[in-house]
Amino acid sequence: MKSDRILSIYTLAFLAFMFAPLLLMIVASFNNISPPSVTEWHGFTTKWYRFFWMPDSQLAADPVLRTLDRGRFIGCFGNSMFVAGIVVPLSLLLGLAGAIMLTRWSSKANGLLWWVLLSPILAPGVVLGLSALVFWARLGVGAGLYTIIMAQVTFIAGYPMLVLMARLQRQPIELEEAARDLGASPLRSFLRITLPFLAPALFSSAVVAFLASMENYNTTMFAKGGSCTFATEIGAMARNPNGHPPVINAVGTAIIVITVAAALAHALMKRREEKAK
Amino acid sequence: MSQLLRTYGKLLTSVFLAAVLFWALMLILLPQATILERALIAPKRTLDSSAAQTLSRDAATCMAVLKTHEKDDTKTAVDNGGLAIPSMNPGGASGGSAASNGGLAVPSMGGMAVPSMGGMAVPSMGGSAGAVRPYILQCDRANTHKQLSRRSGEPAFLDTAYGLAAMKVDDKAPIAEQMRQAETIRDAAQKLADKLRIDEASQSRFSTDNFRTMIAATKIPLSESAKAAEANTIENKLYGLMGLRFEKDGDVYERLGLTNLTRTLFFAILVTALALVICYPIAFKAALATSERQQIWLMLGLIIPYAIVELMRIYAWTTIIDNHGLINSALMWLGITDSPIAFNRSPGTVFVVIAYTYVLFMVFPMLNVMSTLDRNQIEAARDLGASTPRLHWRVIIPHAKPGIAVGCISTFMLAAGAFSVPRIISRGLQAEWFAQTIYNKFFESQASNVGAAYSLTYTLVCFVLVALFMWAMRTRLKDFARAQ
Amino acid sequence: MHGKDIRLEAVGITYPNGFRAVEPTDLEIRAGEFFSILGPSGCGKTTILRTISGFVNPSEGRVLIGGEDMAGRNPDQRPTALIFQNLALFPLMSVRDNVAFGLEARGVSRRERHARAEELLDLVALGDQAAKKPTELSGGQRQRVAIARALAVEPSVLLLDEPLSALDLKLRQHMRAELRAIQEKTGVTFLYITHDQSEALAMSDRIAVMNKGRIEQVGPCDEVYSDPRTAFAASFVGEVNMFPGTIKSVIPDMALVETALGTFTARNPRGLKVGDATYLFVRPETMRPAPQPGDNIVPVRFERRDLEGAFVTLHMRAENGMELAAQLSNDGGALNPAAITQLGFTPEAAIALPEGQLARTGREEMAAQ
Ligand SMILES: Nc1ncnc2c1ncn2[C@@H]1O[C@H](COP(=O)(O)OP(=O)(O)O)[C@@H](O)[C@H]1O
Ligand SMILES: [Mg+2]
Repeated sequence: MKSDRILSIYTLAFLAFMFAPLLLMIVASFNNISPPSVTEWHGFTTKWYRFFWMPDSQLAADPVLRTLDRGRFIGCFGNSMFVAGIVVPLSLLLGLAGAIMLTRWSSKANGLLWWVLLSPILAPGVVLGLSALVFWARLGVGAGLYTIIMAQVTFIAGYPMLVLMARLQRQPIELEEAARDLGASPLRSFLRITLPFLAPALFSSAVVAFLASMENYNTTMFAKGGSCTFATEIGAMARNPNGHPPVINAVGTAIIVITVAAALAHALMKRREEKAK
Repeated sequence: MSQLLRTYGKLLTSVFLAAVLFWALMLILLPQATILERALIAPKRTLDSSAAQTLSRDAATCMAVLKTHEKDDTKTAVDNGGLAIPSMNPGGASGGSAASNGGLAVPSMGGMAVPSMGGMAVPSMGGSAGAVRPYILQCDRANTHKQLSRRSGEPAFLDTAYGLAAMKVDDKAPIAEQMRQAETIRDAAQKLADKLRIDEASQSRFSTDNFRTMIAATKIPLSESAKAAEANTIENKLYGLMGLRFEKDGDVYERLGLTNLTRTLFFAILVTALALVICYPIAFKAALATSERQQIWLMLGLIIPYAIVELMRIYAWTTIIDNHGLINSALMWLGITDSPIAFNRSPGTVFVVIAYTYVLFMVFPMLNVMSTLDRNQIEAARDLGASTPRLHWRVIIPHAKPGIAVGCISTFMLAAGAFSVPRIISRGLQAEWFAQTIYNKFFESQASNVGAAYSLTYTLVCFVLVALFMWAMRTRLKDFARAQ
Repeated sequence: MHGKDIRLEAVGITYPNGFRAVEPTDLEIRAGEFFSILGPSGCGKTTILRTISGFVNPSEGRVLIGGEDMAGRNPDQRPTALIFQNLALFPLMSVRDNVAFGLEARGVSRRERHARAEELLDLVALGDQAAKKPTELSGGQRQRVAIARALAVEPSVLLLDEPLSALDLKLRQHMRAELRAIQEKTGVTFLYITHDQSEALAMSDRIAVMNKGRIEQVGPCDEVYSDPRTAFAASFVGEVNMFPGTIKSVIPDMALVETALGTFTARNPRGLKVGDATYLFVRPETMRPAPQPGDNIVPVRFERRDLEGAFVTLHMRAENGMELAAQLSNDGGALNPAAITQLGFTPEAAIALPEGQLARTGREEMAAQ
């Protein structure tokens, strides 16, 4: 049908729009010029990648690379991993607790709790960072990784909550009751019945929470104080008056490759599952 | 609660409850309450009581310093009394006697000294007063006609505001006389300071000043020609209509905080509408109009850009819009322009990149809800002779409505809260988005409490807009779980 | 295994939202009997069952099992096992693990509990399905897994919440016999709840008829069927013809009832007085097209004949437009229904009960849903 053709072409155009900037970014990451460019080709290079492991002497020889603080960059990345390492489990815990309260606790306060727990997802990210900063400062905790963690958890916990809630609503409450009726303690019933049922949802929301924590810029910028994360450090490079160094393109390309690989693996796994059925 | 206890037992229930309470109180409600508190506390300024206290302290210091000059005074008077300043001697003598019976002298001196001495001092004694005592800062400041700090900027003075006599330490008067004056001032100021402190303590320390600062109009310095040109832009005309920009006594004023807020919300709504129009066909295609084999690949094509770190999606644009970027190179190669267009100065660029960055947040909620629609319903509607628009209008859109609503809300909130895109793309070369305003107010100026007021206002405005939208769309918060 | 008795003493249940689901109720279920609670959906059956198994606390009264007060005991501490309406099999566990779950919770070793599970699966004829997941089984098989799982914890009382409602008719009838057989083999007290009166009548030793949170009648099946105590019990258990009327005169145990279709003699077990408003009930199978002397007689017109296998149901219409049904054994079409002009029934077949709420007819049920 004709309208189907138009829709297909439109979809392809949309995908092209989504991917084109990413492809340009990859191309520029191999171009030997800073700031990155796709219009002037100055020769193929991998130095924007090698930046992360090349010896210091080589680093000092390059006029662009020597202005970058590699140690700081890697330190900030380490900070991000540390932050995500706490944010992910904490968000899963809060999200799980929230999901259980919202689906299994029938009370008049339930509607209010919905609003309160979902409000961080609805609020502008900058506001969350700012309020975490101000609140913890009032309790005597200075801005830093701790406030970043608290600010991020505030809204990231909402994602696991929504995912787990959808899953919990599909699990009949009778399953937990049946386990109790057969003599299982509440803890055993939870660990043996509810948790395995939620496991796939927990896994996928852990991935989402990890990505959200790693990429978060808006909230983190407000809460970070003097510390830095991967995202704020990347963001800071934009302020370079000569334009950002193509090292960012190299990092971006690495992220794209990892993402594509993960998404492909996921899709293939799903297909195999469907075939097995 | 008893239901929860029965299903999960005491241990798990208390863990869940504690977690939810921690989240709700420590991460959500109390931080916002702190922001509210900060927003309501006006930035520190000099209180009237401390102005009075300072005056009292200055007068006391003045006295102490004068005391060290008291002996000098008599000494110099003896040394070069007859020669240089004959007329001063009686003053010095009377100063000495005044010091001995100070209680009596004060009332009579106050009125007498100023006219008689003033008349004398100016012509003949200009330089020689310094010989009596050097300049003493505290004595100079020991003046009850002291300006008070007022937010409105209108001048107010300690003596007129609180009915104090106008007093100062007269540097032409004999030292003893000066000391008496300083003492009077010290005591009066101290009394006033004590009284004011009690008054101020009973006053609330909260005020709405920060919010008033936000809506306050700022004078825009413009030359006549610039004024005419600026007045003609659509943007400024609209601001004029909304009362955000006005002319008074030939000067242009603009409510800068509010115009920033309005512009940001306007662009955010525009981004949302654009994203909705762009994404509906995509969501439909991915959810309902493709074979299962294709669907996997299409989903992949949507998930990959969605999952890539937000900042990277933004940086990807810089190679396109830079002065030496793709577009400028193309335009110059085609001969359309000679010099590169500074895209990063144009709000349109920020708009496009925000749309690019957040457009997929519109796709997925719609797609998820749409794919729960039974494809048989579409077949049935087609079978009953529904045209394509009717099919969408009557079957698909009503079913997808919660997803549409959630997508719109997510996209709107992301666009309205955008901070990374304008910061990275515009590099400070154009008007701020509101999130940047909050940032700048909070971190880059002294008025961090004003920043808190901005932040709180912004949250509330966004919430009201979202609530109105949800009400209009008849959606509930629970739809957020459905759209997963 | 040995069944225990269940006693409800003035048990009333109000949900937290204020809804009164069960009025104060006394009920005694004997050890080792197959007892059914029969009532329309929404009348509070599940609520009673969940109260006995410990998921709902009674707002007043006591629940005793084997003479022990169950107050303050959680579901895992009661000698009951509940079979849920939707079965609630654990979807991620194999059939064997499902059955063994109760033993696992009691700390029985893996080998032992698996052996016990296989034993029980043999009992329900599923010995060869142990390794499958519940989703890979048919409806009837899942049903039996649920029973095996419940029996594995050796309960004294098995509580069954409409477990057959999801099955199709053939399978349902087969499962009835099987449930009954399992109950006899194990000696466990079965408390079975259903809204299907034929199911209750077919399996139970005794039944209770429940309506709107109240138990209206308790007794052996035959007694409830032939001697209903209330209008609701009469109309809910089995098909019935009903004539509204008033008591005209009373003779010991019997009464004369005046109705729009004439005056009938009927049993008067509730001792209605002259002038009382009454409903007169007659079962269709006691209606006969050829009245005998002494029968009550209603003139009718033939309307429709429904063949139901062993029976035929004749739908007749009385002069005042009321519809009456008569159920006859299938004589292969020997009788010409169009020729029937009157129906008769003996005074013993008719029962006069106090006016009261009736069970909904099929058409009302449809309109309500
Ligand atoms: N948790 C609950 N809260 C409030 N009302 C309930 C609850 N569970 C059931 N009900 C109400 O109690 C009544 C009886 O329910 P139930 O015992 O499930 O009926 P049955 O099993 O006989 O169909 C119904 O009207 C139902 O709406
Ligand atoms: Mg029920």
